[in-house]
Amino acid sequence: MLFNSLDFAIFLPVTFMLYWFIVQKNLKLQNVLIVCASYLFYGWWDWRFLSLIIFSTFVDYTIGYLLKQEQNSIKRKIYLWISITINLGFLGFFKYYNFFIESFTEAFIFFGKEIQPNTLDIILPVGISFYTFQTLSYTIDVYKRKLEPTTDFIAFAAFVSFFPQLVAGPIERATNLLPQFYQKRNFNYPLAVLGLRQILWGLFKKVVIADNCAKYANIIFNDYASYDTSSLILGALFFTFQIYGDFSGYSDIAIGTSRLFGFNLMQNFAFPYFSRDIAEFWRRWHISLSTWFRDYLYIPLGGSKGGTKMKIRNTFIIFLVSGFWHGANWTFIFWGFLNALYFLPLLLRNKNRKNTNDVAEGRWLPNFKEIIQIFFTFWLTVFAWIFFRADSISHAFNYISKLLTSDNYAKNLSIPSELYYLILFFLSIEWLGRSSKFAIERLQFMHKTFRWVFYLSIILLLFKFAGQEQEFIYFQF
Amino acid sequence: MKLFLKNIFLFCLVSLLFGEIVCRFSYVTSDIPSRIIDKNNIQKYNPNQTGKWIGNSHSWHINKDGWPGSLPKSRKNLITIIGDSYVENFMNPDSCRQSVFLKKMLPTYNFYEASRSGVSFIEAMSIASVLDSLQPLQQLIYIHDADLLESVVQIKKMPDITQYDSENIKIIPGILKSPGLKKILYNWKLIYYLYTNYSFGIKHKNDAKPKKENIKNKSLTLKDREELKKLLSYVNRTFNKSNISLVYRPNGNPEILKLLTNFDFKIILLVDHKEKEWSFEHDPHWTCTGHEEAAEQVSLKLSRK
Repeated sequence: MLFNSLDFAIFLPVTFMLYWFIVQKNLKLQNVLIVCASYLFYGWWDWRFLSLIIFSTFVDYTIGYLLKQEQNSIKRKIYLWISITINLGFLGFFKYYNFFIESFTEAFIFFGKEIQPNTLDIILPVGISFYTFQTLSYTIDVYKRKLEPTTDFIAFAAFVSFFPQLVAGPIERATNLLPQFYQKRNFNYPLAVLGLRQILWGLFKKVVIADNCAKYANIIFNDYASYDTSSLILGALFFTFQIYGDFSGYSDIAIGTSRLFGFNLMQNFAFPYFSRDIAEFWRRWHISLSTWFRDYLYIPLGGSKGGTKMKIRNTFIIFLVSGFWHGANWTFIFWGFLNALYFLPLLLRNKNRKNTNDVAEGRWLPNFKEIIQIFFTFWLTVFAWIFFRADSISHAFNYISKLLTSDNYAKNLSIPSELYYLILFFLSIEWLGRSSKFAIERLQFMHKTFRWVFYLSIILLLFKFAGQEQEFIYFQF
Repeated sequence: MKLFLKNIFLFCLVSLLFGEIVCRFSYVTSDIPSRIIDKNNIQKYNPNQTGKWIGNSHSWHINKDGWPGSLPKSRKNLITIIGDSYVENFMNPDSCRQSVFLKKMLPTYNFYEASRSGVSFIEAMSIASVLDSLQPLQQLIYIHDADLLESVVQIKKMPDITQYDSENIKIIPGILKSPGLKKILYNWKLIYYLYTNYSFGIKHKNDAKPKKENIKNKSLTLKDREELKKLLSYVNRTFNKSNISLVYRPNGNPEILKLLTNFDFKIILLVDHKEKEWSFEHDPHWTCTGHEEAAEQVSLKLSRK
């Protein structure tokens, strides 16, 4: 079920009503309802893959229980590795099996030996990368004794399958989300209103910005050889806004929906395109994944505490793995590699934590230095997104080489001026709200009339610019 | 919770009002004329209605006989044009009607249009039968595969259009389906806009061009073929088709065309030479260009007769 679909527009109020009017007095029933609603939400795509979630839930619940009972460190480690193997095994099989087979085949061909590959027709279960990492965080935290394993199976099943963030995050930590399933939830008016506001803004980002940018990004990327330099730059720019609007829009809807049910999820995006350097960008982009890798991979590897070699090694590992997490394609790995290259100079000069505050804090506009920094960082990310969007490495390099060569016969794509105005409006609102959790969070301090006019205008834009219902990019990851 | 629900309700109310105002001022939907069923059991429009097409690009009007467009100034040398939404042609201004183009091309003739979206072949024959009272020289029925297939109850039951029941050997007139509800829907512009753009499973906006013309362009089933034969023999027995010509839209099903020829129908087969685009980008209906091209081919055939 897509957030931007009529199915969800019916599903959400029905679940909301049942939750607050039928089962509100009983915590257990609230959790049961969440599990049922979540399974329905997920099964809407393909009910067969529900078995994966249910199996994963059983495995990690049991391992959590065994870890609590067991004091022997070797046995505890074995339990941990069973969980990791099963979870990553599923992920590896469904997501990476064909990639590895094809890559090995290509490698053998390169060395002059032909082999017959045995690829499988595998469907990637939606959101597998997200819920796998979420359940892994539970097992690892229990293993490290940071978290008391749950004895409430329903609460655990609700934690694993919680529908707002099941298929595209934020990847919640068990330490944050699981305890919320133990507490009685009472309806909280300000929280619910905040949730609705965030859902509205998320829909705007997805339906108006991302989907409309996608239309032109797709045209240009699919037929890059026919377009001139300015169109190719626009193609990369449109994809830059598409991916941000798409993914952060999803996160906003997920967080907003959770608030309607009395839950608080972690912030996943913090206005990354206003970052002054790449390190800041990575503190603001897909925060739940970046911090996951930081806590469960980078720090266990030694983080930045060791010598220069170790810093370089760990930086490359985390960025390459992060790229690989996004998909079984060399383009994502190269994208990760490129970001590691961007990041390393800052890390090695100990300047990676220079910009930890909000840009132009306490001011309306950035100063000249900040403008240059933002501009430079933004274009570095735009360049990297070309690899992320391209179908293959050669596609990306051809795109860039076409971009750098002038061609008098190339087409110039005409883009409706409304799209530029929409992006400008979007960036202005994001800039004004940059010190909040989401752009229009502070709207609550405005007069009611202004608020309602703003909401109605956004709804109007949603209908006016709604195109064909499009899936979220991150579903494929 | 009460306050939350109250505010949501209030906001929805304000949104509906605001949306309605916006929809009316920006003409996001077309006005839809109301229908009646006349004494001959033929669905037509309430006479003398006018309305605007999407975006206020042009107006449509229903003449005093209950058909879209203007009536001919004279009924001498009359040729009638009967058809469905293609001839009804609300999506184009009146200057792009078949009757207007044909009058320009064949000025000695007068053209009388009788069209309504959803008209089936059997209903078109019924309309032609009624229009015989005007003593036309020719009756042109614009049809395509689907209009024939939809004419038979046994192929697909469609209560809102006139169909032939081959078991009981009779014509079943179409009924006006939920007229009250439709009246509300068509007049509540916001709801109509949402219905046409966001209804379940239907995505009109930005869809690839519907392939309506080719949907049925595949082999007929044995049952379809038999039912069509029954339909055509019934038509041969019941209607006078001496002055009738079927204007067949491009890319017709060869099997159906052969059947029509076997049953002695005169056919003017339109050909889309692909030099000019006949249809809208997201709508299979003809543009002004399509209408002009079609009229040109029809006028050539008529002038040869």
